[in-house]
Amino acid sequence: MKIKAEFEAKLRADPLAPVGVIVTTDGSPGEFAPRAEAAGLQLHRQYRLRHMLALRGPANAVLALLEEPWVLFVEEDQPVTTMDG
Amino acid sequence: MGVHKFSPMLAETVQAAAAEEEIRVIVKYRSGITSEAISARAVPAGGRATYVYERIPARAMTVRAGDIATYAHDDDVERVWRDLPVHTWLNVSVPLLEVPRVWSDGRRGTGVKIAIVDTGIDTTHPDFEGRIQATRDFTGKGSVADGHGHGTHVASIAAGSGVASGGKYVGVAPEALIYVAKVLADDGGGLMSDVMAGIEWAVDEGAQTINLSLGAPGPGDGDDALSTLCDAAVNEGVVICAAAGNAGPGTSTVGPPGVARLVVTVGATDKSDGIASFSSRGPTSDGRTKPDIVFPGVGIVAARAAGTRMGTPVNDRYTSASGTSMATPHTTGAVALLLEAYPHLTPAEVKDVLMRSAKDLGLNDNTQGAGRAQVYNAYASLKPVEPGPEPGPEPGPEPGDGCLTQILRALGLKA
Repeated sequence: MKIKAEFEAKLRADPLAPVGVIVTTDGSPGEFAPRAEAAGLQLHRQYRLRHMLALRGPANAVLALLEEPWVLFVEEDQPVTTMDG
Repeated sequence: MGVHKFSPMLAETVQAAAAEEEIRVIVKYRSGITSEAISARAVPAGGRATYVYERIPARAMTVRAGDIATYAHDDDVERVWRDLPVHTWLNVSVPLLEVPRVWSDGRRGTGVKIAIVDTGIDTTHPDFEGRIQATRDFTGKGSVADGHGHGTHVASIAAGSGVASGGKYVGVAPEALIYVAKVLADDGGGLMSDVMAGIEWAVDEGAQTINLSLGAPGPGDGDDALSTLCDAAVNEGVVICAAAGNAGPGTSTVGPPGVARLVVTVGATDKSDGIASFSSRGPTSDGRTKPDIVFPGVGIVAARAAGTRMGTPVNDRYTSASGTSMATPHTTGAVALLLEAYPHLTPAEVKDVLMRSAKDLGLNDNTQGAGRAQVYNAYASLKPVEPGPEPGPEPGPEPGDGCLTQILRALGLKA
């Protein structure tokens, strides 16, 4: 499974909606960043500690990534907030 | 009129207030009036009584500023005070953890690198003077200026010097070096991807411990991007302290990064060791116990970023706030103290000693973790045992002190 069903449904519901995702790659993320950009996604962040890329772009371009063999997992770039009352 | 019965602070407040403004007061009546009689007394129109005390003839009430003098004119009223907010100052929470005993041993976090990954910091606040080593903005703002106040507050709990308060509100590790990643915008929000970038930056800067007083909604299984990156950072030798979250008291309310397996996940208590109702509870969605430990996090007064109004401002330099956000930097500061004293501890050993030395509050593990931290106990438990004096040679037996001699003596015979 490359994506949680709930998130995939959200992407399919509005294919043109701009989304932020974090993609786990099968190998060094630097190698795959150009491929993600060629697929119509914008590189937001690239990580060293984990093989991950943060990408932004339309939902349908993210869905297309699921077909790529170098893509291991796609998840939403979730909002975070401070934890004060 | 009864103005002469006002406490000076109440007089000042009433003078500055509009007549319709509601003010909380405590009214002291003359001796001999029972609590029942006090309860029966009318409250000025528009006001309301909140509490009648049993041990003194007094009650708390909310009344309009313009009505207080008339009410105080009553012969039975002796005194009227303003009801003041009560805070858990850093100078309460820090001693509760017995941190000053660690300071007495010469450990103040000196030179330990702590990273605050948050809304930024007020770099002009005197409590951080000379100790901010590096900063980086990941929000696009262009600087780490803290337009929210949260990051500044958090940083001062972990490492504030207390200079602006004359040494009264000192953070846990007041001589630690501070690294600041601004990953949350001035509205307090941000994205996981930027938090992850801030953590990587902190690791690359050589941070020994990272504070994450932030999170996404729970529950979580620890396999999300942020949590797994946190675990990777811990595997590189960095202690990460993460807030459990403020979605309690319901179960399974800890979210990322608090659900990460290797971080120290921190819940919140009040100054009486009661668990804060808002403190998120475990287990994680894959059944692991969280939080790992609890620290004070209710009404913590610490540094206020200039021009911000986060929490309840106490004065220009300090403000009071609650949350697992406030409990977490107590942990980060404690980690800095431990790493100064024992620099070779691994993150797992740091987490273990904090949990092992905690005070059991008698609550569910998914509420309190191992219990409320006892920082001095953690520190002291790692101290090498002082060697005693070298033992001398075994004394030889006294002549005539052998077994047979003792038997003969017991029988009343001469050896």
